[in-house]
Amino acid sequence: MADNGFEPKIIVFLCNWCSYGGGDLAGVNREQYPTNVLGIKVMCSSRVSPEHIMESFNDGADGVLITGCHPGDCHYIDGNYKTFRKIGLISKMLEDLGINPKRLRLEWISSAEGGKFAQVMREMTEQIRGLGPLDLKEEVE
Amino acid sequence: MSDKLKIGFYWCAACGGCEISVLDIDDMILDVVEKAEIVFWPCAMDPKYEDVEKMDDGEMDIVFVNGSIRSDENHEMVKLLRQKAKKVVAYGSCSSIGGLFGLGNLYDNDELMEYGYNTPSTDKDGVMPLDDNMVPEGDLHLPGLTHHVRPLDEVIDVDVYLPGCPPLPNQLEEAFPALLSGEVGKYDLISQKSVCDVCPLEREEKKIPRLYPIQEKKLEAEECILDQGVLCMGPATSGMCDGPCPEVGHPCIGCNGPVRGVKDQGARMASALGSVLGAEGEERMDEDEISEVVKSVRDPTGSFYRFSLPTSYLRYKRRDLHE
Amino acid sequence: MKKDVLIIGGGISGVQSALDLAEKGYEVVLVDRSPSIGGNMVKLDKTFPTNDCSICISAPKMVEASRNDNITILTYSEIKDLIGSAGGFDVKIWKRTKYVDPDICTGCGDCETACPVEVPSEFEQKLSDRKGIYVEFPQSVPLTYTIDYDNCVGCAACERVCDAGAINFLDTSQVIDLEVGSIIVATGYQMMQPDEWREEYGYGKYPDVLNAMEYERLLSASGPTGGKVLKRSDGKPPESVAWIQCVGSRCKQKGMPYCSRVCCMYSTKQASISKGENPDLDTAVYYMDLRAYGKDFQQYYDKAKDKGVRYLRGRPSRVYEQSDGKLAIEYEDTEKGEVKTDVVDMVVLSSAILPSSGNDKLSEILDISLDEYGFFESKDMLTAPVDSTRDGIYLAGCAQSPKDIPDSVSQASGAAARALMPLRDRKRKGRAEKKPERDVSKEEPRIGVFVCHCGKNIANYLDVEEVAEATKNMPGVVHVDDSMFACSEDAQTVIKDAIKEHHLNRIVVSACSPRTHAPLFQDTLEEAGLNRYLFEMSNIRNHCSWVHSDDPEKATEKAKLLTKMAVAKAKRLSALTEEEIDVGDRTLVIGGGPAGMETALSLSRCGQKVTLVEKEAELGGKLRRLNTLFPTDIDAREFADSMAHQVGDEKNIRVILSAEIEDIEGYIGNYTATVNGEEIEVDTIVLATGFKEIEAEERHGYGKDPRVMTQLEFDEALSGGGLGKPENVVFINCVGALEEERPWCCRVGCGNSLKNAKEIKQRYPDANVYILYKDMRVFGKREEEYYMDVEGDDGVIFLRYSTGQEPEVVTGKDKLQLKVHDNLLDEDLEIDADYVVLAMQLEGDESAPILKKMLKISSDPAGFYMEAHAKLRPLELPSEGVYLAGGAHYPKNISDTLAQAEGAASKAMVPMMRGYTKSEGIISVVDDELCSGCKMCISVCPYGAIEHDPEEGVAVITDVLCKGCGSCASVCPIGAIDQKGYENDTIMAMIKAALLEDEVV
Repeated sequence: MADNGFEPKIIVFLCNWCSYGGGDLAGVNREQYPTNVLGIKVMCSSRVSPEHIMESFNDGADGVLITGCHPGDCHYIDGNYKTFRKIGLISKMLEDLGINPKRLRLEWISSAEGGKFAQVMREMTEQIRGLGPLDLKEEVE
Repeated sequence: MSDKLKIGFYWCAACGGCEISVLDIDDMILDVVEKAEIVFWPCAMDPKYEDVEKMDDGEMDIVFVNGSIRSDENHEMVKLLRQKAKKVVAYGSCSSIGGLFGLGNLYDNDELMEYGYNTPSTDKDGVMPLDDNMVPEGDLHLPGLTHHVRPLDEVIDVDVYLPGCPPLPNQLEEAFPALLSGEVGKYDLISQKSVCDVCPLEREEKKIPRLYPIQEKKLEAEECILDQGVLCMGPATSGMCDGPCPEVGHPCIGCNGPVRGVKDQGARMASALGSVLGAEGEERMDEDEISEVVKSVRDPTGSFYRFSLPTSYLRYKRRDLHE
Repeated sequence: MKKDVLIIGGGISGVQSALDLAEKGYEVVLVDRSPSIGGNMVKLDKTFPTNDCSICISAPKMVEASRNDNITILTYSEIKDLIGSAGGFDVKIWKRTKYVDPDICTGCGDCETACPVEVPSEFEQKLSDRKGIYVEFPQSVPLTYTIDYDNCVGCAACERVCDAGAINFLDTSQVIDLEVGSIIVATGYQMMQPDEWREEYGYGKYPDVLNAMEYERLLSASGPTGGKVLKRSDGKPPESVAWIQCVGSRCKQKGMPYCSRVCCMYSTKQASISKGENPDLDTAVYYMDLRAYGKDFQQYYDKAKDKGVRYLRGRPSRVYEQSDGKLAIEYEDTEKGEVKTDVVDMVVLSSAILPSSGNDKLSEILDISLDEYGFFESKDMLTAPVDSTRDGIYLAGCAQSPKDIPDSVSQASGAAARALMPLRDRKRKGRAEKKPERDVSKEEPRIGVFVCHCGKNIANYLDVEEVAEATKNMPGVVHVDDSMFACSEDAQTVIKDAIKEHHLNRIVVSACSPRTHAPLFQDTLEEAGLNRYLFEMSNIRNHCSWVHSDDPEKATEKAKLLTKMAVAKAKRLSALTEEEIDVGDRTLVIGGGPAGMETALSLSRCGQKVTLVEKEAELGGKLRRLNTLFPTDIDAREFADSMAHQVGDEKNIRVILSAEIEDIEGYIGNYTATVNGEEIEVDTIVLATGFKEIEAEERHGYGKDPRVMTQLEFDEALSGGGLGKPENVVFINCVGALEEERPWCCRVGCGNSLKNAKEIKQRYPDANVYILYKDMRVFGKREEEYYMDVEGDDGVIFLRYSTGQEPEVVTGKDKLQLKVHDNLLDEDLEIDADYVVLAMQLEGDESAPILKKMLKISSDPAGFYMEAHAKLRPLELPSEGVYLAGGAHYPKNISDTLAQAEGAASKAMVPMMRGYTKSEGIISVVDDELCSGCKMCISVCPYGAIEHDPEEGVAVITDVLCKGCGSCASVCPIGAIDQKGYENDTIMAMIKAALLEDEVV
């Protein structure tokens, strides 16, 4: 793990039906992952607006992770497809604005994937740690 | 002294359209000059900096500032004007939300200079403008560029916003009397409804399979442009213009910026379009196929933020990718 | 105990039946002999053809069942005795003790860690161990521990570590006396252990020969290998895996003669998932007929082939281990006529679906018959598939015969409808009374925060007091407390007292998962007079202490932040109401074929009022055109007449023939349909519009010669009797099917060809009958047996052709000439024929495009309606109030159609018998002042809950249809829609609370 003493802040949006359950199961199985991730539960990943992502970056998040049900699994039929397309657009917009699109990640985690949940949290933390801080509030003249 | 209001006009980084738009109100200009005396208007009157500096604080009742903040001079002048004016109106989209010039924020200044002065399309190879030039008349100083393009309120307090590129006569006919009588709130001149509300074309209740560049699509006059697969910013754009563009079959390009209460026009449009686009038959597509559909949105950043990048969450290009 | 219905077996079928009944207000007892309900479905990794995560979609159903007041779940229990008759059964149930008090056990797992006993886990197919005190799987319902008496060493280590004091070694098993009116048997299946019947495949002898359920567990992310397929022999991933089909199925001598119905598809699923995860893996399926018969199955199979899964037609004769440890498979490739040996690393046996092990005993206790294989016998396999041989006892799911999940849950709903018959006159539980609530809308937020230690589960890994202390200064927080177990009974009293004493109006509990525990606390709020939505939980256990147990300092910091975020949200919570709308008892059934008639009959017999509309001038649908029915050979018209007669006898059914539906408007409880100019008001709608043959165009000489006819035309000719004396009759299956343009399988064509071939043979024993097929897809009860008879006794000749090598028919002269390439003999054959019968591809009825617009629902490319969920909600559409029966969903045989029709009736009766339907509390709202009418939200709502009001030019949400996903709130380009409970401001506040140090929440 890249250890540069930098502790990133990562906001994770969790869908109520799959990913939040995956997080619960990670707990049941005592899968360990870093404390850098802070979860916000929404009913469906499709509830997450680009503004929520950008607000997070603006408020000091170094990374944002959106999690949802696997394609086809969505409790609300097709919410995750909407999320997928939205994230596709936002990633491009971030890149155009010089922000590493790797700071925004989308993962499908089912409620049976406790191991994957922990794995993704570890990977994401490591990845963002490697990218270094993102200071959008930097003061310019 | 007359009891007329003293008003001023100033342009920062602007195309001049806003200056001319003031005249678009035809006869109504007479009503305006009846109530107000234009004491400051560089475009028409050739005043000097000292003339402004000599004014008392708050001497002008209203100053209309158009254009975005792009140079040190813009920055200094609007600070000075803020001091001399009781009320500052951000006139037009450039000063309200950053405007078209705001797209310059997709590049840093070095990139812009390089593109402007050292590419085959420009006049001379690699000759860059100098800040200081000695000429027979004296030492000329060119104001430097600001770090990025800014809307007016990033530099000074703004009392009223009047976006539009430029504000149209119908907006001005409402705005001038209201402004001159003093009964107008900060955001009152921004519609809280979108262009769709005033657009004569009716959307179908359907999903949009993919987008096409406008030149590749023969548009039907009576159908919603977005439904036909051509990007129209109408849904995410404030509708005080009454929708003249879609009325003549041209997609809305978003010049008014977001509706009242929404901060980030581009993020909203990305959310809307991302949700609706390609949804037909998506359950039988794999992720690569869906990505292809998303790619049919050409230049989402430039299209969604054509007029409002400087007031978006992200505002200007960062150097995160370089590190 | 006196209840309404007993359901034996808590698998997905039993759970579905229980929910169907309980939601109508009947009291149900659900018995399972395992410590948890869930059955076999919860063991599966994913489900075909959607690759849904199996436990993820079944767990919410199980939780729903456990939370339903009308359902009593008795696990670890078995039926001992039964007397009485329909309407009045007396049952004795033996409830074994788990030695753990379920009311006290918090499911924390401390006991499990302490237990020294390790035994092979049944749930994990003995691929890994469990402890002597255990829960079967993390999503178990009930989520309480069980001491396995047989293996317990009595050390009491568990009792010592149980802070909650839930373990009681002195507890005893008990006999429960139960009175019920009807019984549903849903005992499911077991998978054959292929060591006896198919010992030549080396199961039990070679470690890398597995059965399919074992492979399922290896694939499962929560399985013994964490989702990695590893060889048992050396722990390494295999480079090649082979699946052998029909291990113990379709074989009288070495297993069961029937088709197990699910193996082709689950093997395809397993192979394509494995291949998808590791594209270098070689995957091969050895099969006889690839039975991809269901909705989207063929497309799923095609995709697997595209991915590189190889399909080899042939039944291997044996598997043996080579000296290098690899497994050799000997088989005859019947497409090439070569005997070959393939070498692989791992072999998966698709072993037969067998009757559940307790069926024998249960059939004696219940006095109902088993069939010759040990499945429960239907009263009439074709016409009463869900009735057992005894009145008042009904069958659901694989207890009756092997079937896939959607067929099982359809039948389970059907069984629930049948189980109502003996209870019709019983009083049902009515609407629960609403508790009075304090109006807090004018109050400033006064937040109470309760931080839980969860015994040591939280407190051992982070500083609970510090979290509580840090929370005290947050604005709006007026009371903070910590408790040992926040979910315990006495802690609820503490919370209620605090609400009164401190006049709290928002509650935050920092403890475990809201998914499991929020409803409990919400009930407490209600008891204290607060709206249940004035509650928020932060999960400092599952998402914090348990996963950061190596860093208490950081875990404490995170727990503070999580709590701060919950407080930020709580501050913005408002009381939400679940709107109720009345639903009456009137149903519109569209389509008067067998599905529509059966639905109408079922509804009417349960006292509902039905309008049955049929576009033709008489009832019967496809039955009017068929000669006989597969596989019972009963006369289709007689059957149609009998059903139509029964419909005619029902006073509650109004039939409108030659009907045209001009318009349908409204939503559940409020539909207005315009039929033949008359406006009819109904509460629910059942679509039973059936299917139709595609246009034959000029395929195989159709249209040029009258002796080339479609299957339905041939059926008509058969019942007309005017065939002359044919010498040669050729059936061509899959006409227009399994092709690029129409890739799906019609599901019923093979069976139809078989029964017509048999009919010809019986009428004209000397005639030569040929069936030209791609794969023989007969899979239902008694269907494989029928096929064997037609092939053997009747002497029908079967020729297999491939897509792209379609038989050619030359018309003219006195006989038709047919050229076909038989891909088993690898020969071009020429056959003379008097008749060529085309088993046409089927597609949705022509009414689908019109009806789907009226009802705002969607259909697939074949024109079949898209159900709400392919596996678990096959009878419902996403918009509540509209249901599906029969071929409108997908073509199916009569038995499946009738079971599904009963099921659709059951589904429609849920809101009708309850008398109302309720909206979610968390729904979206439109701000009319802002909405600009761009209709973006309408296009994305999966439930058709949003409509455009053309007068106001704004979007209008029908509250009861909104399921609260919030995607419209995200899509709205101007922020005119917000989601209650997850408002934009609330989410933003949580983000700020998480990230900004001094942010005042």
